[in-house]
Amino acid sequence: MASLTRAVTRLAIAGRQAVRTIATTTPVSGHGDDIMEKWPADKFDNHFINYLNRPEIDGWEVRKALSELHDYDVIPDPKVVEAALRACRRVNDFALAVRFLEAIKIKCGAQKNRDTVYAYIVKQVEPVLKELGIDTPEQLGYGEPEFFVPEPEYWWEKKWYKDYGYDKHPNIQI
Amino acid sequence: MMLPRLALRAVHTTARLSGGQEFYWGPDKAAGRELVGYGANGDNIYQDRLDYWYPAIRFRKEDSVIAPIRAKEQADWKNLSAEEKKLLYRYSFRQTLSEFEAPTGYWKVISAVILSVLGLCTYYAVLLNVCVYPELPPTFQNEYKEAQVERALVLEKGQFLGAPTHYDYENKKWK
Repeated sequence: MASLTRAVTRLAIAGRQAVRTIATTTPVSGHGDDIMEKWPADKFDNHFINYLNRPEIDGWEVRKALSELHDYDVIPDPKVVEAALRACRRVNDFALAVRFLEAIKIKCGAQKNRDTVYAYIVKQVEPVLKELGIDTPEQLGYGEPEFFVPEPEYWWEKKWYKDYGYDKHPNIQI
Repeated sequence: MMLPRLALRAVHTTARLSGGQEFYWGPDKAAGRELVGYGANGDNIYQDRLDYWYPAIRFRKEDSVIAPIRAKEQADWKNLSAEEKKLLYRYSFRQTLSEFEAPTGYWKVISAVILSVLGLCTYYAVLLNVCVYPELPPTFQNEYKEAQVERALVLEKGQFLGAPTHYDYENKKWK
């Protein structure tokens, strides 16, 4: 019985290998890399927390870590958020901390998730925000659009040229 | 002796080093703005992107407005006022998330263009049909087509294809 099982297993493995070798296209490197997404949650979190907690970290590396965290299909755990905010404090980049809180909103996705998950994360890291003096985007008034920035390549209303300072040429008066 | 010189010009034995790079203004646009990260692809350009939310360079150059606030940023952030915090954000980034996601209203311009093109095409087709094309031949009229079917019922009776297969000759009606 055991040998039969082994034979079947070998057959299955051989079949899978055969299928694998037939692939006519090579996977594009870097895309579809989900090794870290399959890690257990605490290992994934600790990976980022350890990186962000390094005392010699600089601004470039903080942004690198946050960009990589942003790449995964993951809403960061409050512990990771706390480590990231402290890292922003260590490299003296206030804007990056606010930007990171907005990135959590992006990862939450739909408005319903933002209301629940983002609010939960902010509530969890509230003491750290207080301690470091970081305002959430909502406290800064960035929950609603503050300015309107038109697309340069798109159609413009005539008065926008004047508003945005593009009426300098004396021959073209709109 | 114009021809040989022209021919000489066309022959390149080495590949050009910078293909299409002569008109790349990226470094000029980024001049004076602090390089702070990698961005989406390593170019030092400013881009607001949902998938790469941290651009490579700051949005604005350092000037006399932001310099004292940057000095203040080194100390405790609780001492920063709300305006200073907003300035710090705006010197680093162009748009907030809510501004990035706000509807632009350009759908109105786009649909106006599409609908006007469709309308003009319709007018043009009507113009062709009314003024240009000749009358359709009489075989397109319904009377002619009905007569054609009746003729087929008589002439093709008993065949296994066509109109007669759908006609009940005994009760004189369609099956």
